[in-house]
Amino acid sequence: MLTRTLILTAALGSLLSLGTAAAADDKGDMEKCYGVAEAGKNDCHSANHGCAGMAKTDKDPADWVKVPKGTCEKMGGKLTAPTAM
Amino acid sequence: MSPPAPVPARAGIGLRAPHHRDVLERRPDVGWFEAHSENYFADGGSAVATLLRVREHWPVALHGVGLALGSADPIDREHLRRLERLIARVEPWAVSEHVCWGFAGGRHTNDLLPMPRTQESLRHLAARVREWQDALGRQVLLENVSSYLEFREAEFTEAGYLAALVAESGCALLLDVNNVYVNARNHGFDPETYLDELPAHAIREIHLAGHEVTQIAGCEMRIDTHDRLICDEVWQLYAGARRRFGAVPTLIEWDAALPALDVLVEEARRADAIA
Amino acid sequence: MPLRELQQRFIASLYDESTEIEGEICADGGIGAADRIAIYRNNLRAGFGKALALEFPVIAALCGADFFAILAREFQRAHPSASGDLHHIGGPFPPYLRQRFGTGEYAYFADVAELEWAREEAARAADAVALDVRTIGTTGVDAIPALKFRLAPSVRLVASRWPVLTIWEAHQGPGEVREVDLGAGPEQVLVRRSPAGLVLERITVADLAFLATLESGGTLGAAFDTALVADPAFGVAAMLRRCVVRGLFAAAQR
Repeated sequence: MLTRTLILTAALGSLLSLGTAAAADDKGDMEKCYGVAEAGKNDCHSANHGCAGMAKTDKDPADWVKVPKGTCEKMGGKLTAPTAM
Repeated sequence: MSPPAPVPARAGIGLRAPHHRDVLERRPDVGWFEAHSENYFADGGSAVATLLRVREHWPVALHGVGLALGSADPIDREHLRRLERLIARVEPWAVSEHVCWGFAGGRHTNDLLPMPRTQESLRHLAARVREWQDALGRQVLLENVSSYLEFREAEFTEAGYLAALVAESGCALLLDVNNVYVNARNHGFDPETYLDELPAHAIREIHLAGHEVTQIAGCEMRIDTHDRLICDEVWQLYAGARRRFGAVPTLIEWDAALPALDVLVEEARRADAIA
Repeated sequence: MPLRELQQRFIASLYDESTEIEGEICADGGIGAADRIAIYRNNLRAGFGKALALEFPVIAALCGADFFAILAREFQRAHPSASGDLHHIGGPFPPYLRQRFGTGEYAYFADVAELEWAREEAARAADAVALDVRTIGTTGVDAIPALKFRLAPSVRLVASRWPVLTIWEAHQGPGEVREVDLGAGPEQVLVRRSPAGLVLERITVADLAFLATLESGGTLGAAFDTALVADPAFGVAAMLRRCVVRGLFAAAQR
């Protein structure tokens, strides 16, 4: 236990020697950062592909796609996951 | 931050995330911006920070799309609280919502559903608007929505319903000229007569947008897609609205298939050129 | 018809549970009530599906557009939007996928979705002032193991038996999606916000144990102990430095 306390004390000491400059490391490009906003999900328009009275003419889409058919086809290798976490 | 600046009587454009960088770097020559309130409900992060930076350069309006005041079930208190906090931070020149309902039994459609135009629904909606205005301590703007159906039971015309709402609640109106035109075609009424029926003094803002013409069961239906240029007929109706209501701050709305910022700025110029 | 009843019936018809509302709707001009309601039903599905795809773009790509539309519709039935703000719909999606795909071929979808939702939450979490290390500079030696650190509200930790971050990275950028070996082993991911945007970082099992202990309110000493179990050579000084430099620790709340 004594060793643990010593290690932690030394670790904290080295933190303090970083001072305040270290914490600012990550903030250098604050001025350039406004382009990263996530797209908003709330709008007030009607979906243009949702308008053709599909419900009457479409058969249940479950009839024509039963499994994922996207980029999952590129996920290869062993399909059973390793058990170790 | 500067106090809520008086909005210039010229056109603004909708603020959308893909344009954030362009807007702040290029400072387009438009009168103001409008943001969809719910897109800025986060506790923190870059979206609200960006909106506040936009607010440093232009007047901003907050346009809600999710309150659904006409719903019979109780309004979501948390939604109101977040909205109030956003209004306090942004100090918008206008706060608006829609004449619509949107949820029942805990299921939200996140759509703007048309009101049945009855005395009962009017009393309900007007009471909700009054309550909201009292809580905010300011007048709000209510917008007419586009619709693809009408309920049989109707004690008002659509414009008459808006006029009665203004009289009963003391709210102002956000007139969406595109929605008037879309509904006139979808439900068969004269859009100019509709404008005549509105209380001119209550109109504080106008919306313009593009819509799609499609066919359903062999009949024409106009869908309010906000994904293209404003059509000529809507520009004409807008000119009619300007003749009646004067120089009202006008917004170019574009939500899907968003083009370059310049396209929106050009539409705003076109609106400004109509006197 | 009373407003409440009319609205309940309308919502029921959007979810195909009843057609009772049709008699209340004008059917002039050649378009019937059912076709008119179908426009709103399609808007409901398309709007929900679009918002879900914005929140889970990698899941949408893995599924492909057709299957994702079906998956979104199934999920919407089980978990309809409960708010006027569409940002909330994604919360139940990772557990829904875990149940939907079980331990089969697509079991990793739930973990990928968890990573995508962690990004979404990190992006929207409250802002916080970073810890100024000088405020803990006077801590007495005996009290140091009992120190607690508050992680910034935007920090999220994701652990998976699959290479979830490699899968996520394979879907970024404009080019073709790169091939991924699902058997490549587990990955632990730290999601954090930097001024330049969201950052996803691979961390070790020991790093994860350390941060997860602090996140759940454990002391510095306890975090160190759990990290040592995972890796006897765990360097706590380097880890603390990383935490401070990257702003993972928030100032104590007053």
